[in-house]
Amino acid sequence: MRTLIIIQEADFPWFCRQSPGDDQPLMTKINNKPFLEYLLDFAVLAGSRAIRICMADPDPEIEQYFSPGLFRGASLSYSNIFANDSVSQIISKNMPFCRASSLMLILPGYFIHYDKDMDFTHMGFAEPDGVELTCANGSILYCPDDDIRPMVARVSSNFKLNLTPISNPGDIINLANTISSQKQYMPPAEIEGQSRPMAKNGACILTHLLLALILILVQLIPFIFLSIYLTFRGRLKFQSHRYYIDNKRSVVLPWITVGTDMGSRIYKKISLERLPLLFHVFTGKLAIIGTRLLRDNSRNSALLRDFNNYQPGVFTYSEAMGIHGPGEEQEITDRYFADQPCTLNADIVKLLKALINRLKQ
Amino acid sequence: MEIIAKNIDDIIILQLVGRLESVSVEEFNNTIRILTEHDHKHFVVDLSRVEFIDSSGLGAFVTWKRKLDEKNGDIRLACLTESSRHVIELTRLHRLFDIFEDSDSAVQSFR
Repeated sequence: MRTLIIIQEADFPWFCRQSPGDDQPLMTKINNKPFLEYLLDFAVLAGSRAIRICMADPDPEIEQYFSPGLFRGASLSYSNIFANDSVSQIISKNMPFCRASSLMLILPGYFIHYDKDMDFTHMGFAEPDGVELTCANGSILYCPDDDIRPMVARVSSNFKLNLTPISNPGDIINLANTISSQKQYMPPAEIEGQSRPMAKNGACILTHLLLALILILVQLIPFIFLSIYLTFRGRLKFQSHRYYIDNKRSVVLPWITVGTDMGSRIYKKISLERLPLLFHVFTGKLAIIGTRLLRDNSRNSALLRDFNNYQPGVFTYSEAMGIHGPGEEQEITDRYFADQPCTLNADIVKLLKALINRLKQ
Repeated sequence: MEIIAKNIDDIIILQLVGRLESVSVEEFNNTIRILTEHDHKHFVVDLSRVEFIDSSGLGAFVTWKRKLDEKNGDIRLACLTESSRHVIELTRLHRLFDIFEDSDSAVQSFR
């Protein structure tokens, strides 16, 4: 048998609300074991040899804790779905997996009570094939044949198994005789051998500082003269805004807005408006090249929740790739490069490309 | 990069072989451009033999998705490898593209 665990957060809104911030609701610990592990355990107990987790919103925390591979003897894999995909659409997206044998679907949002000493491997065969059974909560679907004909199995009390819909804060989950976690749950960053892969090393930081210093020295004199000239002509505005410097913290940073006349265009082409930001490379708030600076607002706060390794730069990866102006392509590029390892050569090349692309713009 | 195109009832399966990056993305763009000029608007991109995708490759998928949307067409992804799935999740493209385990199911989904 194979099991599909379908994770669409709309199915368990209350559970999500109980897990505010960055915490993945399905990693909420119950008896020192993430909620999702109970579902995986049950799938194994029910005789699944392959389990696939279908997520509308993939979460690195889940994949780091339950890495693709083997989970208690069953093969574990992942696939992507949309938040509003129906069960049949999800099955069609995973057809080779679903066709390989009979299939059990588990939709989270329910806690499965089970007795670990019972044999659940014949649960699905307790009823004749092809008979559609009812289950009040519809949490577990069982497809006993290759035609992916959904048959909703009532989870009989004979199997010492029942479902508790998790729908309000008053629900009590009875853990009697279920399997407790064998391993201590830790946030992924603290799991042995797993550190933030893209953390900048000493040499990288030093290179960024050196590049910032060179740019400051080169730009300082033109900056002073052109700034005075443009300020007198009313083409330059010194402002400050609050920007995120990592996924949670925001600080006030300077921002220069320039006009559209010839002088302003030259000012922008040679990146003089970025000079005040260069000083923040020395304070560690910015990298010389990184992701786009995001203003502190609710939209960006939501965006940063799943932005791996967001580290804003004075110049951006998308500028290095010749993508100007906000949009999907800019976001793709920023997210893509933010996850790449920091190498000295790559950062120097990207900075040069960004400067050249701004010059050409 | 090699592109193997197959036409199944006006649904084009493009199997990409090799690296989809800035130097090879033009080849991909040209292939789709020629096919769209011949009124094809339903595409399945089979990524099973892709060794590497960079941001320009992903950008090309998004650009064509947008263009095909305007023509009531679509581009769907199939047979993702672990590394391509990682990049697609990282850049949140799983929210934009229908992703299928195999290209046959992706073709069926157009019918």
